[in-house]
Amino acid sequence: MANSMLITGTSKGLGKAMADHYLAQGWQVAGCSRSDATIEHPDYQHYSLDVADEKAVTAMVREVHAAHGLDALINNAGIAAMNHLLLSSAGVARQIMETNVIGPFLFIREAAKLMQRSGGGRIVNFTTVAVPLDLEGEALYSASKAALESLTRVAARELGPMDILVNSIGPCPIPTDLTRQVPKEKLEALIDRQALKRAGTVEDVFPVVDFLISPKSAFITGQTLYLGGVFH
Amino acid sequence: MQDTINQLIYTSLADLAEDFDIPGLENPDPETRLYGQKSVLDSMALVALVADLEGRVREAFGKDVILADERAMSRRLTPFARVGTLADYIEERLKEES
Repeated sequence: MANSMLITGTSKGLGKAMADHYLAQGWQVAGCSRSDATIEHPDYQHYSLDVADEKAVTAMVREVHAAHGLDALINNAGIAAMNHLLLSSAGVARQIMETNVIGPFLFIREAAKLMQRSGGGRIVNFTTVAVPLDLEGEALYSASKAALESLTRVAARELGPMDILVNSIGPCPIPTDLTRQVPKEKLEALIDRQALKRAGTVEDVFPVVDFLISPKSAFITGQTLYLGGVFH
Repeated sequence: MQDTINQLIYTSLADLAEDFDIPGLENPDPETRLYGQKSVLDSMALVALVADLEGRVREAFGKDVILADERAMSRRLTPFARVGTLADYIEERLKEES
């Protein structure tokens, strides 16, 4: 049976690029987004759901596991709202936390329940360089991803005995829908704070995910790896 | 339904006893203590039991139930105390899903 992975947020951007990448490598891929599928491939199965919907997430993870097993979970889905703290609403704050924290938590919980029964697995969470850079205008986004990084570390401890390894990747800005709403000069200022001064590409991200879900990273868990030369 | 649920729990406990090398689960019945005072399961074993049972319940009844939710955790008497209380709880959750 081919290796099986679940990627959240596969309708566009990095999530779609990762789904295409792993389908091309022969993986069985299940993806989800609020919208309909944008990928057509015999080894791809799409679920239209809200990642914070506990019932829908539970059903999806269990269905995927029953059909193909589950070797890797990629928590990629995320939303951002660039705005000054004083102009941010509680509604937007809740929405960001639901999608960026509750969603990954639900997927980790349900995936780990099944991975432990089948001898282990890999979980990769997507965070952002906005956390170590403490970016102005991204307070809620950054706070939600900081929570996800903490979740990564605690999950690594709790799931380590089950041979489930949990790590995070923090890409620097990659031209996707998520960064399209950021003004050009803001993006340039952000890139200027990186040690490697250019925008990221999906090709920069693939090798890191490849490594974190491969047997070669069997002794690595609870880590957050930022791209582009960004560090605390 | 109760018989089927009991059987699911017994099967799950047999696997668990083997995987975690837990004595005292050879011949479980509804009174067998699982979690709490004088329990045979530690928290890791309980996590494994819950995960395994959710899968077995799905296979047997075609329904997704989440056993370790806030309702289970907030009860004065945990549904994970004994085989019988766990079976009752699973039946309750399955009926809610109907």
